[in-house]
Parts: sequence; structure tokens; C-alpha cells
Amino acid sequence: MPPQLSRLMIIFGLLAVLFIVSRWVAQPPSFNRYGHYRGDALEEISSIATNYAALNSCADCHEDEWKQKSEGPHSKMSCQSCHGPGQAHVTDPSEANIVLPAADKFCVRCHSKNNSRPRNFPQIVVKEHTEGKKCTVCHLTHNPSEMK
Amino acid sequence: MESEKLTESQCPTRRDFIKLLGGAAAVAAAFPLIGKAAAETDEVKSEQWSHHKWGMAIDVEKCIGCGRCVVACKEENGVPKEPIYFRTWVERYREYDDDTVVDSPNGGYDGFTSSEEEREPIRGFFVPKLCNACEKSPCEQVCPVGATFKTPDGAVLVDAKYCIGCRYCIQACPYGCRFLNPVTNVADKCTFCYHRIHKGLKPACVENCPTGARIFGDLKNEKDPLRIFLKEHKVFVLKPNLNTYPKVFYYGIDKEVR
Repeated sequence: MPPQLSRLMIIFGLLAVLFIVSRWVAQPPSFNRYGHYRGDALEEISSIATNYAALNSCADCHEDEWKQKSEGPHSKMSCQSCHGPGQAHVTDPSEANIVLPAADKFCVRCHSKNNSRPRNFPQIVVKEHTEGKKCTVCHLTHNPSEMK
Repeated sequence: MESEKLTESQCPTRRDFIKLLGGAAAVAAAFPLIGKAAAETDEVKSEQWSHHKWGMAIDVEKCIGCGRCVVACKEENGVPKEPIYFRTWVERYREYDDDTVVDSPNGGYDGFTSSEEEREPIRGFFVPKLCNACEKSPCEQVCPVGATFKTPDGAVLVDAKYCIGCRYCIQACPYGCRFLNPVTNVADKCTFCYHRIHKGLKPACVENCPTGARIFGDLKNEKDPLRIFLKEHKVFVLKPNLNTYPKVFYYGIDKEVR
């Protein structure tokens, strides 16, 4: 082997060692566990705490409201869709509370007349329908198809 | 042993000795790598991850444009409230004879209003948008550090600890689903609420949709509501010409939706 070639080989060998060592130092241990990414990220992301509690977690304490809701057109809706995220309230009801939506502004968010909404969806022209009254004056709050 | 070999050879030159040292160092460096890979490949766990393939169908004919999904997403995932940061948002399409008007005031966060003076459109509908969880995702392909990845169960996630905030993925996403989180300064996007689906819950937008316009489920499970929905409806994906193979399917959209 000519001497210049073997000298070159040494340099290449050293570079290869440098590469392997630096890769060993820089790469997180869980890299390439599932693919070309840090495997621990999967556990980290999946273990983030939730803000919205499970759908039926309201039923244990708020039996009356739950029963009323399940009899009406909103039976399949989540309570937290109107009342906001409730995980903190479920964990400790004395510490955090859910939101009470303003009945006059909140219902019309879905039920005001909008020409892009599906035609068969119940919609009202607010001015004609409410005459300035709050929805809950006439409608039962958790089962609005029933009148008070 | 090595010293024995050395004494056996007639006259070891300095060069030979250095070569031997280099070789030994390379072997020493390679051994822990192999050992590490073997020790940490937890096969049972990776099998569990790949048992599912998450996907979503959106029934546009049921969407009423209330924007509760946008609110739920922001509340659940701590997305900044400014009207330019969205993991999911709702667009309104109004088609007239001569043109199509598309708008999305505050991403649909405050709902949509229509005034009485407005022209009656031929067709009007709402299209919720989110990460399409592409099977061949452009954002994953362009990430220079491997911070964006497709999980074994089909979601496309961002490793916030590994992302360098180069914004390349934001450019690459053909659906505009990514943004740079102003708090963490890393790329952010819809995760299919990965933290919820691994606790047995549905994504926040799905659970809070009052009309059930979003159907979330497991594409690998034949009895899943999503699979049944896909069987019974003719669905489309967005930008099929880009060959990204999205796992978010739309029912009831027309050619104007991009």
C-alpha cells in the first residue's frame, strides 16, 4: 500500500470515529425507536393533561340537568360544549366552576337564521322570534323543545 | 491479547500501532450503539401504538358553523387566542352565480352571522378544517431535524423539544394547518388531540360538536363509526392531486372547496 494512501485511510478512519462518537453524544436515546424521531415524544404528548372532562362525568352530580338534557333535542350534545372545559371542576368542584353561557347571546350562535346553515336545522330570525326576551324565559334551559 | 499479537509481529511500526488504535476506538464506539438499540426497542409497546390508524370524517351537511369546535380546540390545547393561530378553523362558502365568497372571521371562533341585506346564495355551507394527518405528509418530509413525525397510529405530531422553529414545515403544508406558536417558538398543529385519544376520549372538537358533524375513529377497526360512515357515504379528500393521502375525509363538499 502506498504510504500516502494509508495516511489518508487513517484520516478517514479518525473522521468516521468522530462521526460515530458525536452521533452517540448528540442523538437522544429514544431516537429511531419507532422511526426517524424521538420516541419519548410519543409518551410525552400522549400524557398531557386534558381540559375537557369525559362526556358523562357531569351525570354523577347534576342528575336533574342530565335527565332534562337527555330527553330533549340536545341529548347527544356534550355539556361542556356550552359550559366550557370542565376537567378542573370535575377534579375539585369547590375550586373551579364551569361557565354559565348568556342565554340571549349564546343560543342564537347556533339557531339564528343564517343562509349558509343546513335548511333543515331549526333557525329563528332573532328580532321576530324573541321580541327582546331571553330564550330561557319561555324555553326549558336543558330541553328547549319544551316550554316553561 | 492485543499485546500478544503485537509481540508476535516482527516489528510493529508506529503507523500500524495508530491504525490498530483507531480500529479499536471505532469498535468501542460502535458497541454501545448496538447495545442501546437492542435494549430500548420495546416491541410490545410499539405494537400497541400501531394497533390503530386514526382518522376523521367531516359531514359538511351537518355543520352549522357555530364554531364550538374552534373554541374547544383552543381551550383544550392552549392555542393562543389571537385570530391568526388555529389548530382547527371553520370556513364559510357562499356560492353565487358569478363568484364564490369564502370567509372565516376569527376562524369561526365567534360563530358566523349573516345580515338580512345579504344576497341569498345558491349554495352555502361551512367547512371545518384541521390537520389532514396525511399518510405521506409533506411537513414530515421537509423537517430537517426529525421533529415532525407520523406516529405508528397515524397522527402527525411535532416534538416541541426537538423542533428548531425553522418554519419549513409551515411552508410545506398544502392545507395551511401549521403555525409557529408565539409562546414556545416551535411549530404547532392539530394532534388529533393525541393526549385525549390515548386516554380513551375523543378529540375536543369531536366531543363538542353539537350536531355530530365530525366523526372520529379508528380506520383499522371495521366496527368503528368512522369506518361505517366511510362505507355509507361518498367522501372526498382535499387536494387529492398532491398525493398526500389525507386521513380527514369530507362528505358534502363541492369543487369550490380547496
